[in-house]
Amino acid sequence: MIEPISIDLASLNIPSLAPMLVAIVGALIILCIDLFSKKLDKSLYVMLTILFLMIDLGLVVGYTGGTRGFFDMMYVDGISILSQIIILVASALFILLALSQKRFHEYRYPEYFALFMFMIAGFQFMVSSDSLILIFVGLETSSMALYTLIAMHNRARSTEAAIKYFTMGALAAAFFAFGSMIFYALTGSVELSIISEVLVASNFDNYPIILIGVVFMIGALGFKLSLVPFHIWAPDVYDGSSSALAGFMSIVPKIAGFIVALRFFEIFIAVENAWVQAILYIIVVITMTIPNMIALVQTDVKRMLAYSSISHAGFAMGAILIGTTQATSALFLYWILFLFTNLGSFAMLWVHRSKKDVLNDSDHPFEKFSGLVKSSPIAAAIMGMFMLSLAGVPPFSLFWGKMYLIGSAVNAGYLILALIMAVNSAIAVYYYLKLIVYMFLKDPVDDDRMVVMGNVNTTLKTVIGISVMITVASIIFIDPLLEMINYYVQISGY
Amino acid sequence: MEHILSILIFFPAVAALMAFIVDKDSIRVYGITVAAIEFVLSAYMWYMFDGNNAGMQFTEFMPIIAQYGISYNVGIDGISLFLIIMTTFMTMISLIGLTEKRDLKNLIITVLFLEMTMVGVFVALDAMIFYVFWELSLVPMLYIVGAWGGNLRIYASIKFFLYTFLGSLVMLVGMLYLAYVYSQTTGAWSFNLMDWNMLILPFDMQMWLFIAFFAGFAIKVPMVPFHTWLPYAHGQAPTIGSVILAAVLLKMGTYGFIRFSLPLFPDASVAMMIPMGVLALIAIIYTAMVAYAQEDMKQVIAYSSVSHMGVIILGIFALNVEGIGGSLFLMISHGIVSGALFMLVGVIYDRRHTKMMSEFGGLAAVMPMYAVVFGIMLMASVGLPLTIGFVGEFLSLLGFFAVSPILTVAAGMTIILGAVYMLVLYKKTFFGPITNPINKKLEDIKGREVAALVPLVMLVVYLGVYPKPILDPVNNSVKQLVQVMHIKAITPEAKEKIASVNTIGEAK
Amino acid sequence: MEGFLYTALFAPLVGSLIAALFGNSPKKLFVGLITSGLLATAMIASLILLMHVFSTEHTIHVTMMDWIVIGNVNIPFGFVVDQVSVVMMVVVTIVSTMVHIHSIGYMDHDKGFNRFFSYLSAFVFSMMILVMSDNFAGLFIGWEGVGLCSWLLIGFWYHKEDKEVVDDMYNSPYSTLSPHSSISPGYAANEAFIMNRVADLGMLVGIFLIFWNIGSLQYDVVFAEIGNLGHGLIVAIAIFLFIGAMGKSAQFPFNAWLANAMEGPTPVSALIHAATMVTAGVYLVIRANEIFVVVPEVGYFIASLGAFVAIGAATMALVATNMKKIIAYSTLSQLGYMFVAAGLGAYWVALFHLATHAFFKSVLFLGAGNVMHAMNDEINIKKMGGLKKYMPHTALIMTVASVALAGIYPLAGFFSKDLILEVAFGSHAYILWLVLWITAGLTAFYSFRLVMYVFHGKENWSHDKEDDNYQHPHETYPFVIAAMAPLAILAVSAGWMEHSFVEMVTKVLPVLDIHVSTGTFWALVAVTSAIALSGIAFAVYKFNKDGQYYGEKMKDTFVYRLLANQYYIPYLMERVIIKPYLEMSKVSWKEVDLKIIDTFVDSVAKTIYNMGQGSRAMQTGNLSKALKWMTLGVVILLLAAAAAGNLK
Repeated sequence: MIEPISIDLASLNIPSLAPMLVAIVGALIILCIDLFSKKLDKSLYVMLTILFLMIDLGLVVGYTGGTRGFFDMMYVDGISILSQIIILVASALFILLALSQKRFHEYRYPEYFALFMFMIAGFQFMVSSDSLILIFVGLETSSMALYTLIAMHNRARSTEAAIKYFTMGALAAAFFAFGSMIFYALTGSVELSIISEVLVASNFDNYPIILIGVVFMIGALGFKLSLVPFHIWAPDVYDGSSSALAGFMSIVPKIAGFIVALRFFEIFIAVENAWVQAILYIIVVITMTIPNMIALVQTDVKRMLAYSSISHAGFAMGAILIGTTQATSALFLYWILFLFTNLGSFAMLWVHRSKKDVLNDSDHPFEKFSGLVKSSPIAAAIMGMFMLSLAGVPPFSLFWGKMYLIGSAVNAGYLILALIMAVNSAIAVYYYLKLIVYMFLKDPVDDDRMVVMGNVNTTLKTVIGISVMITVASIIFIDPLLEMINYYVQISGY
Repeated sequence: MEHILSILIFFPAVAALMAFIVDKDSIRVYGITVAAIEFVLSAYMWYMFDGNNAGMQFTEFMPIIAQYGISYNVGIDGISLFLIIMTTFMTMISLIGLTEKRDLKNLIITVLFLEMTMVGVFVALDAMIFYVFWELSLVPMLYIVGAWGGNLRIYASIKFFLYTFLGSLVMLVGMLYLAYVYSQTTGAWSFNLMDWNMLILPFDMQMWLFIAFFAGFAIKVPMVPFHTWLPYAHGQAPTIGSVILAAVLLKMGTYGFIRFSLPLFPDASVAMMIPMGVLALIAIIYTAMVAYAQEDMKQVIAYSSVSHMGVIILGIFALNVEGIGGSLFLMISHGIVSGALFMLVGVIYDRRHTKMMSEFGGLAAVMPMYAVVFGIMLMASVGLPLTIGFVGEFLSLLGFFAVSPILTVAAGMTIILGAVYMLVLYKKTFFGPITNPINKKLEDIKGREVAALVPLVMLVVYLGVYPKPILDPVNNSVKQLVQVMHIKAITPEAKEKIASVNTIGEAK
Repeated sequence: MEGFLYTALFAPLVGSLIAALFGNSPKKLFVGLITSGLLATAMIASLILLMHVFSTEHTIHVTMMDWIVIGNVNIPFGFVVDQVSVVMMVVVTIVSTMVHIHSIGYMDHDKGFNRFFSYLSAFVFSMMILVMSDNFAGLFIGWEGVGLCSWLLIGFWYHKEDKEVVDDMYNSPYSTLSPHSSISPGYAANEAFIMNRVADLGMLVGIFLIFWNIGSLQYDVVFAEIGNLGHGLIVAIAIFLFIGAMGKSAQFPFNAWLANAMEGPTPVSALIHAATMVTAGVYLVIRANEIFVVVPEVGYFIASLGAFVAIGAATMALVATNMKKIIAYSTLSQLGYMFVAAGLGAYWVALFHLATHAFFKSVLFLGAGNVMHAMNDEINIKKMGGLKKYMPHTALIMTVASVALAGIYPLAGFFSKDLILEVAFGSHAYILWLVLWITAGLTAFYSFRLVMYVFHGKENWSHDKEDDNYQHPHETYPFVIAAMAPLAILAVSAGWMEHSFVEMVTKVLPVLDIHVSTGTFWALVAVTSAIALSGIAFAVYKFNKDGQYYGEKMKDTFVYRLLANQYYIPYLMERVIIKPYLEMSKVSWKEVDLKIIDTFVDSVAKTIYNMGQGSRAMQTGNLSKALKWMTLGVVILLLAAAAAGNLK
């Protein structure tokens, strides 16, 4: 005689799930609409997506329930809310870029938008759970969707990129699964909180095994966050996908990854495990440095930005290594500011995208931008500001992120790390300046295959306008922003 | 008038933004007008300035990032007052004398933005605000050098930017660390210089921080051996770029030493007196020799700047009122004189499109007025008494004599070597028969050039004969600075040293 | 009385500024007149002040305004008129007034007429500041000011081109006429300025020492305090100040510039390089006598150097053929005399000789100017001759001046020079006395060698227009002669005022405390006059006998070459200092700056860039390679883990 399992609905804490549900439902609705009518314009879908994202956002911000939910699968704490906000805002801005002047293949399919929503849902799951299983599910959902989105750009290079990404992603997934397995074997749980308790209680016996588990997790997360040496995919994939999507990839998936990394490594950083710290230290340093150096020698702006994004990821990863509350806030501050700057600069590339295939199949060679200040000064000025911001020249937004991050490093006693960060941003200046030099100091080359401003329209202008505003005027709202971040970080105890 | 400083900072920037609307044919007048208004404002500030008050005046305070103690905090004292006036004045003069034709509108807008950053550096009392303006000033200069410069302009501008940027980042780390120390000692975050001045730091920490700040300042000054960006920057920059670079941007470094290194790290400063003195000495003699070997007029003056900056450093690290005050005066005079000299080279470059001395000779016959002005500036640059150049040089050397007579005697070589390269330049260019027929029909300075140069000549003489207006406020503020150092010094040796270099009858 | 003081000081400045207004315009006679007039005003004012000081024994001390005031430094523009400075003022103003008038004639045809007077008056102003200041800083202002003016005036004919440096003793180009010396006015000007700067550094150091040990630069304070300092310190101060004096007064080793300074117009040589500026060094020693008195050893060094220069310069004058340079060497030699006196503590004697010398030497130069003018700028005395009958007045004046220079009773030179010898003997510096005694003979000889070559004997030029050394000598304007007359008269009579002079200046200067018995005194007078007279006699006799002084074989002797090459001093300077410095500079630019420092900086950047190129190899875009990288990463980490695991 089996007792029927009776579950009190309240204990499920449905609101913790609601945001993801909104995204999923939204995706389904879009698909349904497509069933009824085929010849609807992309603008409809874009706006629908944005609507759903806004509802989603509303639910996230308005969430008041407890942290635990749905059989303790969900774990909605401050940083999860914070990261969801980042994810949703970034996504909304990104999807607006679909309304570009030129018509591109992928946006003709409503599936594109549906997949996009699924992906968002996946990221939201990743950040709002501490169960390795749910995290894994979220990870995979989002990745699968992302692969497809890349492929839908429908160029030889896009498909190739998608396949590469997929294959390596598979390997990474394997790492993740293996790592989780080891921890389950060691602690009999897949919930990070419990894993942590057990490990601490048992004073880390079977130390070697634990480390092996850590290694595999590093491999998996390293792939997602494109940490050296797991970053190989990044440049090719960014290069293959459309500038807009590349910009998106450089931000949203990474913040999701950072949250997971934060939750996971916290276990070891909290107890100041020397080995993990050492490994992370090394990884952070090489991730900051090597892509920086490679970026120096790039001839294509997009690839340059790809490498620079990797380097920036290294910077942010530094925050996780440092592990203090200030560092965590620094991570979020850095990433929010990086979001707008980077999205802005990729959007600028998107603006200059043309159907014409330019020489040696690189969309945005530096030459394309030479003398831009002559033909379209405003565009040049804006791009210049984004570059300066990325380079960390005050008072543009990212400087404050860098400053706060380096500050947190200094305060935590990581002086060497701080100096390395400083030197790296000095190196980075060179390649950002390179573009500025081309735009401002060189004369235009007349080559009809190089069309500038080919893809611009009001929507793109708006998106870029927003980014510029935030990049330039950052100094005003750093303070409130920090306040908000600190609030969320502190309530979630990191 | 408590917002005068903010007005001084942001007026040029706002004007620059509005300049985008002004038609490019009328832009010159616009630029000159704006610069003139800015100068008048600064002059008014001087008028309002209370010369007997050694402390900060016209201060404004507004928190920006409260949680991290960063605030918009500006104010001036006798140390920064004249650097600001010199900045606005030289900007105005350089715009008046501007002969550039290409793309004038962008150039003038850039110069106005640059003026904002320069003023900002000198009025900032919050380390982070200081840093913001300090870094931001690189960007317009990069554009000026890179867009209107010579053949190597891009190499020169990037070298300038990267080199200084690297140094400043190290300084930034130093600043952040200092803020951290402050929060540890007081429990509150602050980047406010006035708060930092309350800090008493252990000696080792002082040394490390001194080095961190040194990285930022020494490259900017520039001190040998970090000077190699300067010849390129000057050699490639357009006239207005060189004028502003030499007149103002270089002074940021020396100003930084006075504003930050001395009061914050008194013991380290005392410990570094001799090392810095030696570096300065090398700069003085070595670059004077390099200047003598040049074939390009502009390079001679570029290297001579490095040499004179060496004297300024020497004066600062005398750590006595005479030395620091003298170095401040020398900053002003070098700003005016080197600015004028670069303009004069620009004059001849506009006419002949070459700066090579070998191209000239006998110019005194065809361009008498030009020769006279050049001669006056030359004499000021070699520090002839009753010209502006003497007072600062004399006081700087006098000051350091109390620290180390030997070094000072060696550094005194500057009055000889300086005369050597300048007089040889003058002889090659202005004396002798006119060898090159093209030079026969060169026209003398006229109109705009005269308008720009005459005020400089008058200043050179006036301040040389009557330096009191500058020396008085400087004296008060520097006295206070030295007292602060003396109070803050932790080691008795340092205290004793500071006291001894400031009293008569101690020099050995 | 202050009114007169300011008049004396600023009248020349006003003149200079007025003249400067017309600096670029063609000759305007009134410029010359106005400046001369203002100089005359200054002269009268000075004379009045002299009378005042002499009669009332009151000195006038004014502080015009602050100059440099900061920290412990407090330097005003202050001026003092006391027995010493007033003498200098009078000398300077008298000579310069006459020179101004003379120049109106001399620069008659020069297109830089106005400019010249502007410079000349500016010089007088600086000189007045130099002598009237009441502190060392003010002295330094004048010190550098006269340096600047001398730069401007030596290089007045800047348009002349550079000549080749030659070591031929006979046929050097016009501008040099002696081996390894100046190649053009511009060169000479720079040389003078730079050499003076070297000495000025010494002076500056002296000033620093005074300041940091006494805390003031005011003469009265310094001289009151100086005694309290350690002896070594005072020695140092004295030496450094004297280094400055050596520069201005062209004492060895700073002597080379003075001879080359003769590139300037002759009135300039008369005023600056004979009468006034070069005596500034002597004035400094006299002014600061309280310092030098305390350290007799330094004084003795000064005296010895003076004697050394006196004979050295005189010997150079023996063989020189450049009229102006002969007189310049003679100036050097006379400066040597003054330093002997000053060094031996006979300050008023030095001042006395300074004054008398100013008169006869300036008039000598002005005469030389007339001659050059008449021979259209011929300067080689061997190309002249027999000019007496063409320009009698000049001949007369120059002969008188030479006699005065030779020190023959009752002319001015006799009194002052004889005193110096007496001092030397009286203070038992017999070697110095001997040197000076010989020098006296040489002086007489070379002065009259010049006179003979120029005014007597056969004419070494031709009346024939076709001939390339055609000349038509003529006496200069009467008013020029008139301007020289007063100086000539003073050259004769200045010595007669000795007693009133002594009475006045010994109010501030120490009185002579040397006592030679009357017998010895007369003996000294006798031998000195004897050697002087015999010098003259020999010069005249030898010239009349065979029209020249040195036979061909004598000219090949080492000694002759040595003298003709000015003891190879210019040669050595060229080789030891000037050339090496240029080479070192080139090295430090081309090798050190460009090749070492800058290359290093760039190589850092390049290295990083190349590392980028290297690490690029990672990105092959090849999938299997990428997978290998990921696995490799994990494997490495696993190894690290294993290692760490076993450690625990």
